[in-house]
Amino acid sequence: MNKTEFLKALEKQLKYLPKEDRDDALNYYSEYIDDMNFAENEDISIRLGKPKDIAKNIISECAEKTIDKHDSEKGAKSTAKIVWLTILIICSSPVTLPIAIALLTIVFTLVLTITVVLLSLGLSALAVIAAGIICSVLSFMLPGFGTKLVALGIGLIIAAVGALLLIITIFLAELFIKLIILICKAIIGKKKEA
Amino acid sequence: MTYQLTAPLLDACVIGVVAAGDTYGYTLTQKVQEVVDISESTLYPVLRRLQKSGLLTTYDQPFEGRNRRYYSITEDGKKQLDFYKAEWEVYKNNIDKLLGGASNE
Repeated sequence: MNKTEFLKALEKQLKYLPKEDRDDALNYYSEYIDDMNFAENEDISIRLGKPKDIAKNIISECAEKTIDKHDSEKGAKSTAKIVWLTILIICSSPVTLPIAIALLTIVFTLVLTITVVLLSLGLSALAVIAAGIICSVLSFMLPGFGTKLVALGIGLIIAAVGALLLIITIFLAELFIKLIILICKAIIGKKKEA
Repeated sequence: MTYQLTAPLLDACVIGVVAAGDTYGYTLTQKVQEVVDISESTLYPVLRRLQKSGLLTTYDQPFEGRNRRYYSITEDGKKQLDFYKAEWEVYKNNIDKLLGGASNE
């Protein structure tokens, strides 16, 4: 593996990192290889290490940096970035491919299931709120003051129950996002020790 | 090597080498490798981290028609190095005490 081949392989391993991080790493190793003074036909990866292993180090450092940033600036974008980097780390870790695929499938299925459940809960809550409001509005069309009042009361209660359901759903969703970040941090932290 | 190098100690060693004079990735790795068993690719993430936390800065200088990135220490880096040195002194003395059996004085 010569210099060009090595850098190309490294670039391929780092293709999902932000461009700035990738270019910095490639520049560093390009300089480094020049300084190592390789012979014409020498295999660079024997002395320097395999591109895949080097990429693993770089990705881990990038992930730690993102987590540090996430602690100071919250937001959906940085959460997505953490999840993304965790997937990269799992893929670049030495566990065999079938296990990695199985792990990712399990995580993906779990996330998908919980997301769907939360989404349907939220939609049900919205439907209940709507039903309550419609009931309250329609109550004015009913004959008799007493009946109007009872229907209005029932409508408002239903709307309140819906609102409560919505609040609980939002709370659960936030908890769920926190859990995902925690799991990602655990995985990244584990890689750091290795 | 019998004893393991921990992350903070490696940080301290790298800052120490840079404090002795501006240097670039390859020679830096060589100097640390003379003493500690690390791989060629160990220092890149370390240098990135130290740079991000403002302990080291970099500048580029042309060399034989290409670029060479030098690392130099910042004021914060010097302070951190003093801290690491003091911590190391305490740790070293305590270990020496245990090894010398002086703990049961």
